Amino acid sequence: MIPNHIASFLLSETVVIPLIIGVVRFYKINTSYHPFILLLLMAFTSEVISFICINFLHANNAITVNLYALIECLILLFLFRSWGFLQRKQKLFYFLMAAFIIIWITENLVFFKIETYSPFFKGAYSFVIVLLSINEINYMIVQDNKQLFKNAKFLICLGFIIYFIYQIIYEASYYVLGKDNVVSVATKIISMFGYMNAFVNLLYGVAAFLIPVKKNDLYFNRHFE
Amino acid sequence: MGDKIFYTTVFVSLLIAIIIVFFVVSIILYHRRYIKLQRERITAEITILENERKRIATDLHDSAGPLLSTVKLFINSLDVHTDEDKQIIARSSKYIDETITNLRQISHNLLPNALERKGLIEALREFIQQISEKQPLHIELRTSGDIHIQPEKAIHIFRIIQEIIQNTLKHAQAKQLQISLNKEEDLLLLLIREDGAGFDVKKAKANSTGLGMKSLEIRTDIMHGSLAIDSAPGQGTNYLIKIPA
Repeated sequence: MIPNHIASFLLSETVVIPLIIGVVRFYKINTSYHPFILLLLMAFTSEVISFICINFLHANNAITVNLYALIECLILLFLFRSWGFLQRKQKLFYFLMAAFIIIWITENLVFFKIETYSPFFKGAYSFVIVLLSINEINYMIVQDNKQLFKNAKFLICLGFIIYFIYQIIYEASYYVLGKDNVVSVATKIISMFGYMNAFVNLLYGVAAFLIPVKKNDLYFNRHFE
Repeated sequence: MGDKIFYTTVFVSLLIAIIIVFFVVSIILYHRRYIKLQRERITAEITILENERKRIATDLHDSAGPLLSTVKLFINSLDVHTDEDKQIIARSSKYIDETITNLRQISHNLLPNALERKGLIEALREFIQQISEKQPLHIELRTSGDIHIQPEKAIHIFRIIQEIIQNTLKHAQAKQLQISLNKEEDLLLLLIREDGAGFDVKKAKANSTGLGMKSLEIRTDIMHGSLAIDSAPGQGTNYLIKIPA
């Protein structure tokens, strides 16, 4: 029987599947997806550091998790910028960047929650990322007449919606009950997070495989050396 | 503890509700933008089509027509002595006349001169007269009040009426067709009634493979108007088109 923390680590390490696919295809794929590959790399690194902190250093992984949350949030904003929506709405992009950095600093440094648990920042950026993903998906539904389930952007956004809505519920469960309060429903919600994370990682794996290559550059390279 | 759970649940539910509302609103907005783009694309296509028709009509009328007249003049000025040659020249002149008449007819069908020079009502009267001369359909045109129609709308209204008359001649076996063009407040009302065979409108819309019905809808849509067709087998057809003036 695998101990819980090892099982949880193995589930979260499924992120290595899309990461490997993404890294192998890195130079071929459209550059607008590079922030996504960077996000996968950061997620993998964060999970490994957390595992080392808990199992070898016997320390709290809160700092790693909180720092990763900030990095993840900023990379995601850059991803939506490179996909075009936040490129067209520059003011919104800078506003969101500034707002999230301020919220993170306030929660983690001013109220000194960096070594414990900080739900507000995670809840806020999860909410915004879900809205941005819905916006991208709706744009694709209306404008894109290609098959959506073979569209990497659609699958990635679908993954974001599933993951971040669950993260909102997960954070709320933590906020209500705290780590030490074992209440059956909240415990189930929290323990399910690992499986849901693994499912989303597999979805990202399919998406990483379907990320379009930078065709235009290939044509230019072929004809103009 | 109870309050904390209650307020957190309410807050999370509110967030999820906002997400769902955002999804619906966002898809509606994108759909509206898509419809607007489609309308702009169709308008551009129809404008290109009308401009192309206009160019071809003008070329046929102003270039080919006079050239053929000149050819006829030259042929007639030939000095021939035999009866056989005179007959050939006479026959050639006749063919050239027929060709000129046909070219004028094609040019007129592509774009009636009267539409640009005298306006929609006169162009319609001319068109109705031409049809009445050849077909056993009695067409009546009624207008009331001062109707000023912008040229870009006039061409669409003319094409709509043209299409309905052609459809009536082709499918309806009607004896009478009445057209009424009126201005009421901010609306231009085009009412057309014919006493033909009629048809099942829903069925026709669903099964129609032709472009006639679609053309009526598209041109009405371009003018931001609305089209209502009221018909049933054996009961004739009523067309009501409302166009913002």
